[in-house]
Amino acid sequence: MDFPADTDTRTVSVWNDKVEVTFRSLGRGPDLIYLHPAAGLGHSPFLAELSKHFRIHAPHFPGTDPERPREIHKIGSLWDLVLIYEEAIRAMDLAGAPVMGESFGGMLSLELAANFPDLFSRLALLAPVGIWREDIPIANWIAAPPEAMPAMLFADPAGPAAKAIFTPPDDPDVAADQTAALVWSIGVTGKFLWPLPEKGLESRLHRVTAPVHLIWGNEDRLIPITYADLFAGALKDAKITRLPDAGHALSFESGPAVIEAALPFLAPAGAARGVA
Amino acid sequence: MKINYFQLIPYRRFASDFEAHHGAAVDTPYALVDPQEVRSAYRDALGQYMHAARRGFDGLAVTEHSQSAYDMLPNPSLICSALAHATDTEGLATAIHPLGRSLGKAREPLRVAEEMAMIDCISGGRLVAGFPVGLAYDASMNNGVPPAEVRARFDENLELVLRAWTDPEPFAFNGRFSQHGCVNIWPRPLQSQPPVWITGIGNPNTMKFVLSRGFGFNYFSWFGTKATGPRIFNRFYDIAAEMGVETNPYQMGFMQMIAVAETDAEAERLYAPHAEYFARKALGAIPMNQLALPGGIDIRGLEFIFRDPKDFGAYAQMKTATYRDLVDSGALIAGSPETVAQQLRETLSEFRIGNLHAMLHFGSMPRDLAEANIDLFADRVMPKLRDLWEGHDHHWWPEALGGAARPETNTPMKEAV
Repeated sequence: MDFPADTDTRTVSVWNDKVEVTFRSLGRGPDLIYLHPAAGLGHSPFLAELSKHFRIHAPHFPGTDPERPREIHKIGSLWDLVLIYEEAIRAMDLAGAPVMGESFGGMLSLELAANFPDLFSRLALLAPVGIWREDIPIANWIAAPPEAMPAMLFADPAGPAAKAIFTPPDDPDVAADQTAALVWSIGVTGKFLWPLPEKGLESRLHRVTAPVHLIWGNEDRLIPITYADLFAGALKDAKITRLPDAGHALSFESGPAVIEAALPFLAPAGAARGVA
Repeated sequence: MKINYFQLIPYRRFASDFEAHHGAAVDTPYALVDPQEVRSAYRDALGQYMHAARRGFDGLAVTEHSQSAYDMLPNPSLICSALAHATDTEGLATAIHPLGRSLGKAREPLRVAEEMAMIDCISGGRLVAGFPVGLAYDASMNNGVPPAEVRARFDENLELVLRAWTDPEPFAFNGRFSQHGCVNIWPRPLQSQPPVWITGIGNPNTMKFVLSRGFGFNYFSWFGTKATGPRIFNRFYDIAAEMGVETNPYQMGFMQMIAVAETDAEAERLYAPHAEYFARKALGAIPMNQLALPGGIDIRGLEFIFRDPKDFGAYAQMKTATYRDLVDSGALIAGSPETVAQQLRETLSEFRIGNLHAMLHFGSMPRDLAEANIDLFADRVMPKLRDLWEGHDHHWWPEALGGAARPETNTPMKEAV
């Protein structure tokens, strides 16, 4: 799904002008940073609805902007990645805005907030990765066969949301490019998630001072909902909303419920920054 | 023409429905094995390698795969060092060729450099070093290297290994993936620099790299040479032409599964169960999501592969392949000595291949049949291939075994980087 024509695309040069980060900005309302999941950044009914309430600023993870696929090779470590995002958010003059992070984007949001506690005013996180327990293994979506993905990501693997994602376009060239972009996006984000999506975040979570709202699907088969309690237990100020009949791909399968849960948290009266 | 003996070391006693329930790598349950059959697999494999060395094969080619039921060979150096000593003891002038010491997988590249240097010393300068980037499942799933870092790790590790072999002075190495305050390995190889071979699956970037550095290029035909051969080999030569690099058949290595019997019908009778075992319980039982992981192939390569997957040849059919399917696809060249020699000669000639890695043991094959295959091949096929490429110098072969000095294009790593 293409971004609407009035979406602003802005590329900021960071990391001593060595890395370019592309932001898509859309909608009207207070600023909201959106950090996308491992599958990449594309427009969706969820973002369309969210953009009715916020001015969304969504950076492409380096390497997932179709124009700049090799930016990923310039980033050697998670530490560099966090600093690059921090520079990019400040370059966009977005410091102090709330953030919504989805899955991998949720982990990234928490890493940023742990390193720079004033960077976000609030964090709404959709089933973030970042903690891993041997007795509650998280499925390896990077190595999963394609046929396993619907059941891994959706509460209803045969439902319309799953079909909309996994039905290839009729044009084989478009289908090839879309599949390549999806695989590449999972690969470049996987650079910081392999072999297990746990890079010490739990030990840093106590540094997060902004309020955190964890939104989780009761039927999440990728990251079991038990992890919501583990995150909340390690954070200073966290609450959990558990969504019934929802899987891991929350923004695709349960968009309206996510927005209903997140709105009062992200834009409480008088708390928003940069109200248009 | 150089002809090496090649085999994997598979577990040979899986039940007939193994592939319906299990994959061949990463998570194959070890509870399925009889430990004595594992012991037999090593004893027979080492015996077969030595039998081939005695029968006049030019080299012994060994792979590397961890957590693999189809090739129980987590470290080729162990097999190669045993073969280096045994061939030395018997006075056999046979190259020792670890085809696959994956440097995209290696977390201790200096250990690779040391082990290979030891093999070269033990063998008296007969090492031919092979450094593939590494299979996705092995480098990433087994060894935890992020797929997006495998290639970069390979590049860095190769630089370190070659410098550790050749730099006469101790040096500090400050890499992204390893740091060493003082690199000064003991021993250095006996050869000033052992020949270096890279195994590829068709990635043009790997071919460009091989050609720019003057290394040898190995290609494995498991997915059927008839479909993949014209694509892969011609791509290599087209890229060489684009780069203005003069090619030499001895820069090309080719692994081919081969079965020889007195007649074509006899070959089918003797080898069909073992070839089908290999296709179904090894190649066909490695799922695609273990052979290629997101991040391992860059987006331009992905766009190419999703439009045109033919580099994978008959891979998708392997799980149910019959003997006839394997022969028809070229994955297996089988038949009487005349049939096999004719087909091999055509393939080697057409694609200008100077090094054949003859895979004469595969699947569930017992030792007596493997040695019969080796004998028939050595007696009645090998002589019909020997004259190929006479007059060309082999720059990718140990000088102790008649190899020519490396050409100037084979620039030492430090100068080429």
